[in-house]
Amino acid sequence: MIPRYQRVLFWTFSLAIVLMTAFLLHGCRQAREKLNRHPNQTPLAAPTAAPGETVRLALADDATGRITLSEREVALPQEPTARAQALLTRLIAEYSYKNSAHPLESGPSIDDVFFVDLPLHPPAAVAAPRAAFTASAPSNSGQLAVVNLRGTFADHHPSGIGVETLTINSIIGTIYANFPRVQAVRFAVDGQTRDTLAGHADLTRTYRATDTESRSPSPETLP
Amino acid sequence: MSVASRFVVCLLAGAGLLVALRPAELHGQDQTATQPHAPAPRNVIVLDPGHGGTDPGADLGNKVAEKDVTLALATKLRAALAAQDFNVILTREADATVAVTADQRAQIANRSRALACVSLHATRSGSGIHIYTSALEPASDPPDTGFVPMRWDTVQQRFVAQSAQLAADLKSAFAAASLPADVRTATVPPLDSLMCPAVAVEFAPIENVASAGKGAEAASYQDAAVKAIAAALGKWRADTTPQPAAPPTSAAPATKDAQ
Repeated sequence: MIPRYQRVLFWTFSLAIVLMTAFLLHGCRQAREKLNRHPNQTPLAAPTAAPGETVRLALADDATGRITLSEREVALPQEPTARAQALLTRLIAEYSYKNSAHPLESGPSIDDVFFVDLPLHPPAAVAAPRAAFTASAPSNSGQLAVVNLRGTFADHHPSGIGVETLTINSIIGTIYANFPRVQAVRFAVDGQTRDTLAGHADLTRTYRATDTESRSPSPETLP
Repeated sequence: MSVASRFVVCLLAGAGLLVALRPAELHGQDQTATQPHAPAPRNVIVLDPGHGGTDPGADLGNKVAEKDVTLALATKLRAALAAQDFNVILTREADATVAVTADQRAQIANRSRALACVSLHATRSGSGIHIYTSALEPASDPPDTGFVPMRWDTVQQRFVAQSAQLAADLKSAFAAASLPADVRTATVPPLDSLMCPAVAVEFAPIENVASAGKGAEAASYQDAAVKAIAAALGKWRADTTPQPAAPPTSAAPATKDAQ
């Protein structure tokens, strides 16, 4: 036999649950109506004053293993490093689209891009190089672009020689097509050197900024 | 001279005679023959199963890691090459707990003075078989005088042309086995540090080939690929082994015009 006070307590709690559920549903309905009446017009991203311009993206294709240049109309900041960062972010975002020819996971990819004037060492400080080293040394003008990738991007990048090489070539080709002063490209991940992108493509090298549309870029031999 | 001394002298003389005659007996060659003999072919092939230990490589799906597939491929390939009298060296024999670094792999390969070095990889991105050679520019001929040092990560420059030829042979062998393959360039450790004709072969899924399974973990795919690589390396040895010089002839051959 259940005591009377327990039955009263049970029905009181049950009633409270019903009332609270009704109150919650009512609150949700009111909030939805309020949102519909006053839609939030606040922009999610800061507006840019830069006009739209045509840029060239070096897009990779896993099936053919080739890089093709494609034009896009985008608004980019004028400051060079921010411009390069926005451009490469846009490039990687292209690969997260459905039916991409080089599918990559969406998410933040490019942390920073830095431009460093070449040569890296004053000419007087460099020992007289032998012929083998001067064959592929860069000239004394131009810039080195340092692309700092996010660790999450590298960690979630598909693993394979082909797919990693295409990503590297795509980035290099896009820099080459839009930043003519850049002669060489290096990569870092979260500000640190890393052996490979996802187990295969070498990230310790300095790559020569070349047209990657038809061939692979050669690694540079910088002192 | 005592008996013991004479015994020692006889023993040494007999040993010397045995050493002097042994090469001819072993090879069945007549030392006085005027026919030039062919140089012994180089037989060492270095196989580099990618990844291993704490480095699993690519996830091929179904809990299959790239390091296991590359080791299985290398083991099968070693048996196939041994049947052709190749001396096969693997940069890793098993899945050790400590990963073999790219520099260690290159050291193993460079010490062997190999006829060819083949690095094995697998992926589930893309499709078909991709044969990669170094993206380094070919090196010019070394100067006649002086020692020219080379960077550890650019020594493959001297072998770029040979590597391209080896890749072409592999592509032809894969085509003969109805396996779609192409040749590309890439900067992949330890390829650029290898002092031998070197390629990296990456096996991606194959969709429409009846003789092969879909992914690189499929036994039928591996068997077909191993057979093709072994055939290509056999051809490579035959093509790169110097041919014996033609024996000198006493008279020039007659030509049609002379007749």
